[in-house]
Amino acid sequence: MINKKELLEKFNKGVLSDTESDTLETMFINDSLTIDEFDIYRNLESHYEDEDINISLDHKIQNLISDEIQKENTKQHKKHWFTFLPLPIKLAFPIMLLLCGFFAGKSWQNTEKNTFTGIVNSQPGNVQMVNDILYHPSSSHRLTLVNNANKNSENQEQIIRVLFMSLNFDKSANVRMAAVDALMSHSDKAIVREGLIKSIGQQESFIMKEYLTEALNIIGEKINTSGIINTIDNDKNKTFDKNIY
Amino acid sequence: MKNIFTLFLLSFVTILGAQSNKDIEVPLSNPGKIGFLKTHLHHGSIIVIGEDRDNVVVNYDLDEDDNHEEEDSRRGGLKRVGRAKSGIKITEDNNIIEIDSDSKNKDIEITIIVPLNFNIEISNHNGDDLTVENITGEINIESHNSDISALNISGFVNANTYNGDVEISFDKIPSSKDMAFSSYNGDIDISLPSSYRADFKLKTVNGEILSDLDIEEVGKTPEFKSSKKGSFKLYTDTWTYAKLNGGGNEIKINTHSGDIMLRAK
Repeated sequence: MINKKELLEKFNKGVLSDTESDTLETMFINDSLTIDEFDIYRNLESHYEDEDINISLDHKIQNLISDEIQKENTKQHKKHWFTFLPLPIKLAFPIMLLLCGFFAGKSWQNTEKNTFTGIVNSQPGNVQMVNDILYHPSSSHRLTLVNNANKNSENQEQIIRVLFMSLNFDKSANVRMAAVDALMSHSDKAIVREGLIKSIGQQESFIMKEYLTEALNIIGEKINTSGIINTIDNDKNKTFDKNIY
Repeated sequence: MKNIFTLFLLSFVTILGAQSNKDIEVPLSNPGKIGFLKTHLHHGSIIVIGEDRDNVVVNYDLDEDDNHEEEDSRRGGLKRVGRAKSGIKITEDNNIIEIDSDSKNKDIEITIIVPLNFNIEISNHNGDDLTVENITGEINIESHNSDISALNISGFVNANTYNGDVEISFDKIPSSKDMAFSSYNGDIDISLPSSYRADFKLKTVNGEILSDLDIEEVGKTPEFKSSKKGSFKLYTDTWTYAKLNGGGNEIKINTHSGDIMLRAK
């Protein structure tokens, strides 16, 4: 019996065999596996939650400092050995704590970001291409890479993940449309069809919503009721964004 | 290390409640080297013009409309002291110039004169036009309700609008990158050197594709996919594929309601 967790891990690393890929696809079709269990969307959500992480981190650091001050005050009443230390050392102590908190927070934040990009960077040969697709300042360069993404026949799972990131995050609508075209070549995979449906809710641009709907129409995917409800729910929670192309 | 030093050269100009029609000269950290202009307005038009120069000049016009002039008994006898004002922010850092506005509902017109070699990324939501002229570099233009035009361009252009026409005219195009032009309600008119080698991928739902270029349509067989359970799925591709001078980098043009015009320059 193949373990679901093990299969997902292999999918994330892009090392699924054909048989395992079929098993995963069957599990997905049989509803024993949902799209939210895939890192593509889990990381997508964590990306949106970055601000919350920062806020909670700020609170934690604040709490840490206020706890230390409180402890300090309590200890003062008991005439702790610390009270006999010279003033510069006493001052250095909370500063050191603050610095430790700062660096700990920074490394924590980096870890969060690394999980987002780390998965796609699992294959060193493709690191440059993946980074360029996601972060290159030239939209023409990103467009060219997305158009050619499927020419790399190895590691299809990784290509799909990168294309979904491009579809959901690239600021150029033309690059996002190219990502839809490229993903349509993988439309035989249920996860791709489901991901395209879910992406309609992620898009704020009308032209992208139209393009995705048309793409789904071409591949013959009917958006079921839960898909529509999810799309509407995603729309409801969107705050106003200035980039609505 | 060099970047760290140039940080000190950061030029930061904030104009709040500024008056109309002001020219602001923005020096570049590395004059003579290629720069990058990023501008976004929610409501307004942007015109970028390339000139043989070493700095950037920004001219802005904050439209002070008189929408509140209508009769209102409570306003009688009162003299106007001020009105809602818009602001723009201009920053320069290591040849990257960013211009942004906090205005969501007032029309702003910005004209930016840049050196000839410049990369441009401009966008708006509503407004008259987004225009770029005489530039050698990479251009990305995005809008929702504006016409887009990029004329006398040597380089690459990507343009997208929802309601508006797209007009692009190239002087030269290097052959290394793909380009895409899209609209939903609007014509797309592209002029390019007749010697350029390209693979066209074209689509209009309600319109025609017209050209005076010597392009050759390439018939594409319908995509065919079969599933492992024995059933099969077939769909026809609604794109028109064509080659210019034997083919090259891809130029994708897509509009829903409008014509596609390809012209020789």
